[in-house]
Amino acid sequence: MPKNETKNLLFFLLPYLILFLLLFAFALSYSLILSFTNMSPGRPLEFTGATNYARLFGDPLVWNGFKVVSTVLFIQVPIMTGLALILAILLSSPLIRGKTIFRTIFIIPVMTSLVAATLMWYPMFGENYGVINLVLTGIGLPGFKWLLDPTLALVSIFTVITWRWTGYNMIMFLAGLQAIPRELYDAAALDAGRLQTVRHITLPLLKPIIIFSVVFSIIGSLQLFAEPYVLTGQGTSAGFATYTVAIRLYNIGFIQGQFGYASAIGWFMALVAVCGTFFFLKRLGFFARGE
Amino acid sequence: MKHVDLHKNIGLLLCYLFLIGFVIYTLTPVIWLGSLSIKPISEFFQTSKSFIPLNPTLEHYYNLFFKSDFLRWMLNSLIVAGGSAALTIVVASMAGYAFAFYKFRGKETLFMIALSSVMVPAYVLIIPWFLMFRTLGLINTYLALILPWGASMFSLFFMRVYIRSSVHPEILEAARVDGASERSVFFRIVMPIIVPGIATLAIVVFTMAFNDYFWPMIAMRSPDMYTLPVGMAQWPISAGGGSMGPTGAAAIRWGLAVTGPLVSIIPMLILFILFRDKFTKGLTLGAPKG
Repeated sequence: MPKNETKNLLFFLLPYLILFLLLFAFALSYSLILSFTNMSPGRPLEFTGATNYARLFGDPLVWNGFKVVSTVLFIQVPIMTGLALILAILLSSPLIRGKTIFRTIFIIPVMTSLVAATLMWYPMFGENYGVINLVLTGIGLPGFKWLLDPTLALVSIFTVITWRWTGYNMIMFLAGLQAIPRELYDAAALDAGRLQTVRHITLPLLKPIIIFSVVFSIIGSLQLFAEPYVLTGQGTSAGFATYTVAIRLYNIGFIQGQFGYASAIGWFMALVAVCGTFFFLKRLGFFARGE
Repeated sequence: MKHVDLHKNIGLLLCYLFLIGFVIYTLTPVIWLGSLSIKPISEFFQTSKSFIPLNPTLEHYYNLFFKSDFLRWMLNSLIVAGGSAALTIVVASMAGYAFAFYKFRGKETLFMIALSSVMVPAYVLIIPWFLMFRTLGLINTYLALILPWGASMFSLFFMRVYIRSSVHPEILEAARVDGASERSVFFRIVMPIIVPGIATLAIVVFTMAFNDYFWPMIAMRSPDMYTLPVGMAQWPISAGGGSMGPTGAAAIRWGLAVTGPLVSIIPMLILFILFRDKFTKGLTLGAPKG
């Protein structure tokens, strides 16, 4: 091993370590402490114990937020994951032509920022000028107030999220499919139909990547902010149908300046993210197999 | 046999229909936006609508480039994304090297802490960041957006794994025997080997920083410091969701809201065209292999 070990080690490690300790470790502890105070500008700082957490449990808008992100989690995430899987399986099949063109088109949304993606869909949902209503009225159906009706506003949000992230998940599944040995398919194709091959070979081998993508989606849905904030007037164009936990946190912390309470909401979100992921992995028997 | 073939063909037809359906879903908003972006405002709200503009105009693009802060926001986004990528690759490759080849006490513990931090929602950190950067007088500066990327753990993780798998310890030993200092071992020998990994990481961080919204929205307080997402997100709010044809300033914002998003993805498009493989590979960064 090299000479002057400690000195050299510090040279390589210190830049990252300083930033990590300051912007992660210190910041994390700081917000934990804040969550037990009443901190807000122009008020004397006091430790208030678990008051913020008690308030959180009685805050209907926080629970409303969790309800909104749960619908995303239990309805939108499965639809998107399924779509991405089908696309990936189709685009890795030798029977389909024009794969490169399809793949390039499906990757376009991945390049957009969440805000740009949302703005791109904004003119689609318009009441009198949106494409969706144009098509509906064109075939003799009534148009809808997409962003003003509670159910339809949620559907609109789902549509944008699915548009933005399906291609991303598809790319991940495609990478996983490419890692499956060709011989396995050829062997399976001899005595099993295509659908059986998918069910018994493809899906089990893709399992780790599917789990990764769903965990990523769980954490992502919980933190949902930009799409409802931009598309549905800060989450309030249809009552509170699209008012997420993150929007609540933003309003409490950065509009009302109640940093203490906002930190408590943030920590509660983190707790739900960790527990939710853990529970999901446990249900799948992820820990039992020692993987 | 005939029956099986027919069955197969119908299946294939359904597959293509599914793919084409998804193409329509993906492209409709982009094409519609492109069409709106060259329509005069009055045509947005006409009763007889068509995809093809009747009187094409470039006035929205003119307003976007010369009468709004758009180009300034684009510049801000590029500076922030470039700065974040530069900081991250330097810091993460150095720390990644230390984690890959040095033995020190608490190494694995430190690494596990860094890894588990992926689970923590950014919202927990953003309130302290705001207070800390405000104390340092760094709110509304590029540094406020750049510095947090230097602490990103997925970069450290990626560089550690990449250096472990691409650099052979024997080469380093050989150089040390020849009397090279640790720093020149790193900069002269390790760095050139890991250039492809550095490029992938740079593209990933550039993209993420370019597209980031929540923290920039809080850290950047004045319109001249907004990044693209922060600035553009204001348009629909100020333009309103009204169904009547807008006039005056509201009409101009309508025009901006349909041109801005299209132009804003141009840097990403260039990045994608130039570094297609790395861009795609970067998306799967962190995913389990196989």
